[in-house]
Amino acid sequence: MKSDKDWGDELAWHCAACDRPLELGQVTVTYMNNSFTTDMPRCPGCGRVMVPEALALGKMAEVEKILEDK
Amino acid sequence: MDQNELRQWERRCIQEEPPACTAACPIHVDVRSLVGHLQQGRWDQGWQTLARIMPLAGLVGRICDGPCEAHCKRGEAGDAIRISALEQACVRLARSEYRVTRLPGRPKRIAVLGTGLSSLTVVWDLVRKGYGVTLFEPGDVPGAVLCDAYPVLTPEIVAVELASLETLGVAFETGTVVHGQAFFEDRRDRFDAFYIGLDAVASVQWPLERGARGEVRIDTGTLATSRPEVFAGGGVLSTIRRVAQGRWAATSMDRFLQKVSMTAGREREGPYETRLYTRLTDVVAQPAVPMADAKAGYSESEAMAEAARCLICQCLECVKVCPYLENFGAYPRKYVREIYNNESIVMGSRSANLLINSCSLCGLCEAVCPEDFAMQDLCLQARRSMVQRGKMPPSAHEFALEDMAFSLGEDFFLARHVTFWVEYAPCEAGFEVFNAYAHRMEVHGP
Repeated sequence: MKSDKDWGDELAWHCAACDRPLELGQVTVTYMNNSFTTDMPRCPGCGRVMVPEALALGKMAEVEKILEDK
Repeated sequence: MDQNELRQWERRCIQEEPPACTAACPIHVDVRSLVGHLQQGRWDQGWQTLARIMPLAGLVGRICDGPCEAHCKRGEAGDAIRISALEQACVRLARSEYRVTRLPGRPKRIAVLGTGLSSLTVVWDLVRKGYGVTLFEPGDVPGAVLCDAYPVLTPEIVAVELASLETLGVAFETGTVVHGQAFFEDRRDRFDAFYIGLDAVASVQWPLERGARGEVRIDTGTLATSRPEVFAGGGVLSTIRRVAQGRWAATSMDRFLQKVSMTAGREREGPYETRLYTRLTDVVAQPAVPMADAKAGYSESEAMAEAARCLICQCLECVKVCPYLENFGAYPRKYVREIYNNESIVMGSRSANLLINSCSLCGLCEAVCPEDFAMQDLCLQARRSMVQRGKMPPSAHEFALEDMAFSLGEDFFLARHVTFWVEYAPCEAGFEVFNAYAHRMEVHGP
């Protein structure tokens, strides 16, 4: 996942639990024993990460398929 | 599963065993494919199937005495298929052109004596392997011995076949006295191996060991004589056995000249019993299709009708009763190989997981298999081994369950309301979670 994406829309979100704005930060993504790190919008308080729908249905699903080895 | 176990599993499934006709044929013509083509009137493909195994099929195909017919399974439900008559019809009706490839030339030279069936077979086999072959005919006309013995073989038919040998580079020498010792002594230095066709050359006086009645002593398996470079055969009555002895001698001569084992891997060279099982229950007895003109042989329509009686022998007992085995398009022998490969790969795609997981382990295959092949044992064993090594989840829907647990837990929520549904299909051995939500990656902070 490339991090040259413009996160403008997602960074406008607030974490309701912590009442803090999301920040771009390093996140570890794990799937089927494979891990890699990337920058994604996350809450600096609780660490929850915002996964935008387009990413989940697009690039993420694509990478999952590759890792699933199907 | 190791290689050894794989072999044992593979051996148990008999679907790839040849049909009884092919096993009984001394040269193992693929009769089932041949007759299958004739059922559809595909004479040319039938001819190609025949000529792939049978030497000089345009000649031998007209005179084969068909020992296969006595073993035909159709013979247990009516008359056996008239295989030789079908062969003759095929040879007559097809555009009978040989598609012969000749291996690059080898420096060894071979002398073949006589132009009978066994000698012509030796020549056919060895010239294609690239050897330089000279055919010695004691008389004036090569092949005359065949025209005398088989009235159906006209001089024209024989001439066409001999011409095809000449095209391949066979040298012919006629009018040579071959049976005397002088012939052998004169040519020992010029030839690396000799074949004596006993179906055409009688009373050879070469210095060879002999049996009680003065006949040349020949090893029945390799057709070798007491001299390593001299081979002999063809001294049998059956036409196709003469051909077969020529073929076996050619194999031996090739091995002798290449200095490799004369006997290794030749166990199934001659006729043998097949292990193939063919169910005859529900097969209605049928008589052979008669010929309107017995002298002319089967017409096109008669040949097709006769071929249509062929059972195209196969086993497939388990596949006939199991939708699972049928669904994957093959039979257990093929599946074993797929499962073995699937289990043993380190990286790459495990394409047989679905095959392994779809068996319901009921054991019906084992109950109907003549050899008790137990697909359920095979699948269960593969599942256990792969689960143990972490190569397969404990159940096919393990992932869906884990995913659901994560999605319902503390670490995950959806920012937008989504309806998602699950379809449960008990007949498909598991359930599929439809792609209503795609947030399947586990995401957490550093």
